Amino acid sequence: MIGFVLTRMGGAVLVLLGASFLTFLLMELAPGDALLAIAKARFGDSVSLDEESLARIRSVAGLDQPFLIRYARWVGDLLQLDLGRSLIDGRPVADLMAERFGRTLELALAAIAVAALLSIPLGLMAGLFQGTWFDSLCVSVATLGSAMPNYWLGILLILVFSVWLAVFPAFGRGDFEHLVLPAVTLGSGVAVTTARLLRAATIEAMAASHIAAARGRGLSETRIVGRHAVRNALVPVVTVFALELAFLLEGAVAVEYVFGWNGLGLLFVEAVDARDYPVIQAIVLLFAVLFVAINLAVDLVTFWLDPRTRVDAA
Amino acid sequence: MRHRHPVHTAAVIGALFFLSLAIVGPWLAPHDPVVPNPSLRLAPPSLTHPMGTDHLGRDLLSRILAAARVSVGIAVLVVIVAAVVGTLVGLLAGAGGRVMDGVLMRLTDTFFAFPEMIAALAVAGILGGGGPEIVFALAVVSWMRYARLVRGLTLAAAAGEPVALAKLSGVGPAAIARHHLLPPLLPALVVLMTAHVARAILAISGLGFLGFGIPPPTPEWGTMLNEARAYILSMPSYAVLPGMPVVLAALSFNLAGDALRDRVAAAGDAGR
Repeated sequence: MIGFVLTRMGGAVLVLLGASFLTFLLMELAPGDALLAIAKARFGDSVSLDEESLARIRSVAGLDQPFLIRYARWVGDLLQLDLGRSLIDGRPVADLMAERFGRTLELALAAIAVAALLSIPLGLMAGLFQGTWFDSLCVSVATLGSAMPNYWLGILLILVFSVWLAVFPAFGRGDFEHLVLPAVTLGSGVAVTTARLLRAATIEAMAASHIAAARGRGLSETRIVGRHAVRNALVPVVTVFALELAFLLEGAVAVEYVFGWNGLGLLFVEAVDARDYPVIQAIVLLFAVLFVAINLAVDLVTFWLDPRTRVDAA
Repeated sequence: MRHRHPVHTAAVIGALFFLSLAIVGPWLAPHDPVVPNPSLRLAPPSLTHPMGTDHLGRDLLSRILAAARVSVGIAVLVVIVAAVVGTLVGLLAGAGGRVMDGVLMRLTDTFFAFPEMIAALAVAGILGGGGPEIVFALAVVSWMRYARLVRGLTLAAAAGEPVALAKLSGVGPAAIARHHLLPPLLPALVVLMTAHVARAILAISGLGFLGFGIPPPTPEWGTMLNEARAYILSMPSYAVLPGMPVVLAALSFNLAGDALRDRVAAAGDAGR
């Protein structure tokens, strides 16, 4: 057990080190002179600097150092939780992110609630009534949903609920009413995946031999479904919700853009647009850390919960 | 016995339709999709303009048709580039010995650490808009699935008797790859590539919607949706319509991928 945990954690650290290198490398992709780009981002396109001052700033900021030295320095700063400062307004990136992350978390949690409310009853029912019109309807909606970009769903919801029915605001954040449309938009994507999985798990659970045994013992159908099938079917859903959290944060980028929800996702779009490199680097790396951490956590919990995976791992 | 699912048939036809639209779409456009016509701004649907006109007076139907070349065409390019790179990495990892395998799979894991859309957005945004840049941004975040698939299948094939015999007979590595390793990969690759076209179409329009796609005035479904957002009150149909082909194309390729997967699985069962 401890060996497995250590191996997985070691692997995750190695992957993150590689990810930090790729993130740093990303900034080297920027076309043209980085310093001039920074100056333009901060002071507008008309800014002009002579060669001498450019060279002086470069040497003060350490930009004339070789790539690997700059990378090592950047990682050193990261480990001390120094993410640098925004090129646009000079604020510490860590502060900017802390401020925005809470708002995205608020949206993500609301979206998970929406996803659970939609997918658990629908997925279970579709699985229990496999082959009926209700099941076909659920499967069709889920198939359509997986091809639907979340920003387009957002536009449709704005059109129906903000423009035509005028029940929910289309833009901004604040009270509960502002939360409804973005949360539904973001949550329904997760609901589609979860409902599909839950349907399959329910069908599998109902086909298991202990269900036949319970029927043979003359237990009522309600009791069979409630006590034996649902419990087994819900186990994979817990794992999927954790994994979906990572995709939720990714999906939040477009959803925040559609609804003007000024969280981390919108910050990311703004930073890429303004070529605010320290902010882009920090957010890309934060996503990688979250992604890797969530995957690691799911692996460890599955390992702990399900003795069968231990045999495979050994 | 083989079941033919009508939905699958429709999906394959749909996918072929969108592929051909990528070629002929711009020629089918009844009006010029790019040149503005200020006197016709946001005109409602009519006989000459079945979907109306956009905020610059351009025929919306023509723009949607012409956009297929960018939205679907670039998606196909992304898939080809990612499949070629991923297959090469997977072949090297699966047949190149333990050290090579270890290094390449760690590399694959590292690229997998980033959420696809976040990484693509950063790369596309930093490189600046343009066809080649977008192909690079989307391929660099998606080649890993091919590498994993090909590595697994190659490991299995390399352990088989034909490859051992070919090695004994002194056949070179390139010939072994061509005759023994690649052919069994093709069905699985085609399935993965078909589903990937759907994801790439969604990703391209996603980049366009966020303002990091092919720059205007070139028509692209996601970019059009972004431009149309401001007119959701004055002309709702304009704000919604460019999203239809995205959904239909993604749906077609998703389901066509399912259909091909079923066919491949059925063929595998029949071969046993």
